[in-house]
Amino acid sequence: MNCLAYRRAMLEAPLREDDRRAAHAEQCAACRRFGRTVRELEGQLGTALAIEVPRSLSERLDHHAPCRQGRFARLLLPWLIPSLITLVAAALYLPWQHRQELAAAHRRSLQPTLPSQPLSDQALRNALVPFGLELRPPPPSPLTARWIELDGAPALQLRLQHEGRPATVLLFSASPLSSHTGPFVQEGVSGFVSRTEKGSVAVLGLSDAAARRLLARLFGPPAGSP
Amino acid sequence: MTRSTSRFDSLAQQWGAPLYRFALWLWGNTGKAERLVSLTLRRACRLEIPHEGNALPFLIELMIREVAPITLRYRGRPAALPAPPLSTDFPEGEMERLRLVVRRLPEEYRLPLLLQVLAGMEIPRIAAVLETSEASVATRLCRARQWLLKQETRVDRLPTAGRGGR
Repeated sequence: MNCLAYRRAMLEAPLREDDRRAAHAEQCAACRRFGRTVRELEGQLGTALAIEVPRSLSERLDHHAPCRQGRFARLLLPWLIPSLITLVAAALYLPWQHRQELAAAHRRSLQPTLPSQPLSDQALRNALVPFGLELRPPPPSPLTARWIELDGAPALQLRLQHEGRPATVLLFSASPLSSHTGPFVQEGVSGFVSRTEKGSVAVLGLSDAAARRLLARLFGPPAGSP
Repeated sequence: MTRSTSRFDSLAQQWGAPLYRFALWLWGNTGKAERLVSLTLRRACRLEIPHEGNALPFLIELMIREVAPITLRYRGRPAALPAPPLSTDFPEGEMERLRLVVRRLPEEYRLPLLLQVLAGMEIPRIAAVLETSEASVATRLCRARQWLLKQETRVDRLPTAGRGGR
């Protein structure tokens, strides 16, 4: 090892024990002094770097320190505004879609499916009991009654002539129609929906007044009316 | 107290001070140093720490690799050290003078020195942490100490390689 290598080695790692270095220092007084100076500097460096740490450091260290909060905020911001716009659009669209679905259900309810066999007079009287209704004599003629499926629920369908016009009366306990009472006109078909004690009754194909007259004729005046 | 909180506290108790010291020397800001130590310890809570008895090199490596990555600027040849500033404004006291000199040392040279002196890392480990070559680290350490010696005005006392030199 020559002087240059010794000095470089000392500057790289002064505290490392090395036989070759020691052997060179034995032979070279200048390098020995240099080595002593560098080691002295290293000792002072260790002391100088060991600065005092605040006693409350452990308490100040935050277990929940946010991880690169600024970076996250910068990453999130470009997504935040489009997300808000999407949320507002969804908030506006969903009620509109809900109204559309209700209207579609209403239309479907006006087109009953799966007709069953016509009911006899006795069967009709029995079928009216769950609705809390009773047919007033004399029964209109012709009158066809049958159970149908209305939006997945059973409904009693009465078909008859009233004031020279064909009319349909639907009696049901649960249907989108239940949420509506009063007259309605849907796709050219006028009708009237009323609540009974235990369900709802809808009259299709008649005006509001004619429907009310038909219901009074079939089941008597509604409860509470003079 | 949850398990992670107690582990955090245990690590903070044992290694918080030397980590803080290292961060403060490197970044020179107490608030930033505290935050970096917190983040490092929180990250360490989720890791298996090898050599729990001397976890400082591991934690410091974790800090400068994952929490505050600063290795990119150490790739390639080390830049030349600037000329030593005038030493007329040195404060009184040898320790204060030396601290000022270390603070003035460019970061490119200060970091390997801190890793060696404060974290007790060997040159190969420093090179791995900084993702550079061992020769580059050795050069930086060499130049840093030369700079310190000059700044410490020991230049007058430095023995030159005389006739006895080989």
